[in-house]
Amino acid sequence: MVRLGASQSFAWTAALVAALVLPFIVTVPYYISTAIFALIYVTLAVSFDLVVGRIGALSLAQPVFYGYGAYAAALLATHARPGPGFWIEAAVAVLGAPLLALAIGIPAFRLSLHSFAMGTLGFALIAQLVANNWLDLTRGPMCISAIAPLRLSYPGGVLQIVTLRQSYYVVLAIAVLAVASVALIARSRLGMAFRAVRDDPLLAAARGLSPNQMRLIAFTVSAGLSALAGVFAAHFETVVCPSYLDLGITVLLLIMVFVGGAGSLRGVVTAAVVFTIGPELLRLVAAWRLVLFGIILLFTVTAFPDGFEQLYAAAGRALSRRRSAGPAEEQAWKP
Amino acid sequence: MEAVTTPARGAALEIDGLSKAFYGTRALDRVSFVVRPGELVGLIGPNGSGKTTLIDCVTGVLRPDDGGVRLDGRSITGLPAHRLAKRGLIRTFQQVRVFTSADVRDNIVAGGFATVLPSRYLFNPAHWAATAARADALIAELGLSRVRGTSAGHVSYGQRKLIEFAAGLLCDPRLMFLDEPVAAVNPTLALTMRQRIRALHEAGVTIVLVEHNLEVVLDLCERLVVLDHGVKIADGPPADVMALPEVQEAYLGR
Repeated sequence: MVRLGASQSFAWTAALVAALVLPFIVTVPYYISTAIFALIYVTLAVSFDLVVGRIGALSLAQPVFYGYGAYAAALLATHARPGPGFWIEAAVAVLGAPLLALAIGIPAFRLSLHSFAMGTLGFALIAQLVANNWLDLTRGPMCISAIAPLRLSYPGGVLQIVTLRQSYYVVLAIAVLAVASVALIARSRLGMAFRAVRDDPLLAAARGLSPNQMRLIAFTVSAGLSALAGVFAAHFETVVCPSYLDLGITVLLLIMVFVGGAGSLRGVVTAAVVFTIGPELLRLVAAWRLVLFGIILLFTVTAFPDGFEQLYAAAGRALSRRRSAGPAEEQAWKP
Repeated sequence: MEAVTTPARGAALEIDGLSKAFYGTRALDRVSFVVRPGELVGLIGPNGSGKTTLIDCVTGVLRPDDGGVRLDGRSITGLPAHRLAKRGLIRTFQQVRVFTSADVRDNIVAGGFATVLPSRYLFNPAHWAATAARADALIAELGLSRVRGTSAGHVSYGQRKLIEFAAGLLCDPRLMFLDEPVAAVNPTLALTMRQRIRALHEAGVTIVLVEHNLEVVLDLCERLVVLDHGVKIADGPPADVMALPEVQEAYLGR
């Protein structure tokens, strides 16, 4: 089993503590809302990586689940105001998205590698068409707007999530849930089965593992987590448009996973934060923003083909060399 | 499809008129033979004679064009590989395969997936503790202790053969296909492997051994099946089979 080294668990704890105190240190609303988007993308990228990095299936349908969660929350919250509250919406998202994932995954996983990517792209485009054209349901390009703030009921009351700080902590909880779920799966025998299927499906089958069953499990869990991010985003943005299903989201998620390092939790989390905050910083140079973004991306992928994970691994090796007396960190089942 | 024949009495594996073609080339041409429970059968033949194709068709990797396979009297034709592995039909690969992102020990422990219920991947610590203990014993026996924590992608070809064999053993095989298990393994370990195969045979596991090293085959096997150009040309006790002119011709040329 994979065990975290002392320095790694320290880094994770430090990151969590930093995330917890952030809204008290940074008080500019724009910065907090950027942090909120970063956490939405941490959730999406980490759950996307479960499919792309850990089971090795290049799905292009991830926004379908994010969009499903957002539309489900928007419809529930606007049809009978003030809506059923977070827990019901979350249940509809987290239980419904896996069904959607099965509907997409069962036919799509019959396809081989590249055809699978094209097949899932087809489903992503169908979802866009539905969102744009089923006016009675989604209002199409007119969007579903005026979504009330998230209502979080707890024993003894209901909390309305209205301030930025409150929203930040809700999305932080969702992101932590996503990261923790993926970390637990990765360290379990289920994660070992996922990696077996990714490394060699034929050999995995010879060991009694059904490759498609494993892929569907990864796909459904991933869908559920992404949909949960969608529920939050719908209330936070107060408006849900077909742009939730935009292919631009897929592209951004692909960048986050591959520049972060496919199958690496720390790499993907870092990339999700960097590639949400980075483009915002680049707004300072308005016209050159996308050009610079492209250059940075090109530099990163040529200098570090295995992404941020490569940097972390190199840093970890340097650290353990410095304390060479200490025990070497176990690197089992790490790409 | 072939006419339904009555299952041969007491057969572990029945291969009945198995045919497979690739782009018009007949890789297997109506091959039939029976393996009895506990038997150690050698499957031999020159390169390209269809041995690996036969294993692929029997173990669910390839779908045969025609013919059928029965395991313990029940048809398994066309069943997927993972379900056959769960039933104890285990194979190794001629072109050795390992999980490259896993270390040597985890590669061997992965054999435990074949014997655990699908719903119990996460919640069966006793099973995995037992599997790990068996893996550690095999690691010591097969001389893999030094590379135990090394990534399986970074060990030698011969060591990977040993890893695959050890993982196969942890699948608790009832019937095991060994596709050239000692090729590229150093002589000392090849000897260990031969002892292991014999021990497996003595433990009652049915074995089909594909091997080019005739010395190994003649040493271990009680019966030989010979394929040439996808056709079965001989089937019987090793001494008789090796004396047949068509076998001599297939092996040594005219």
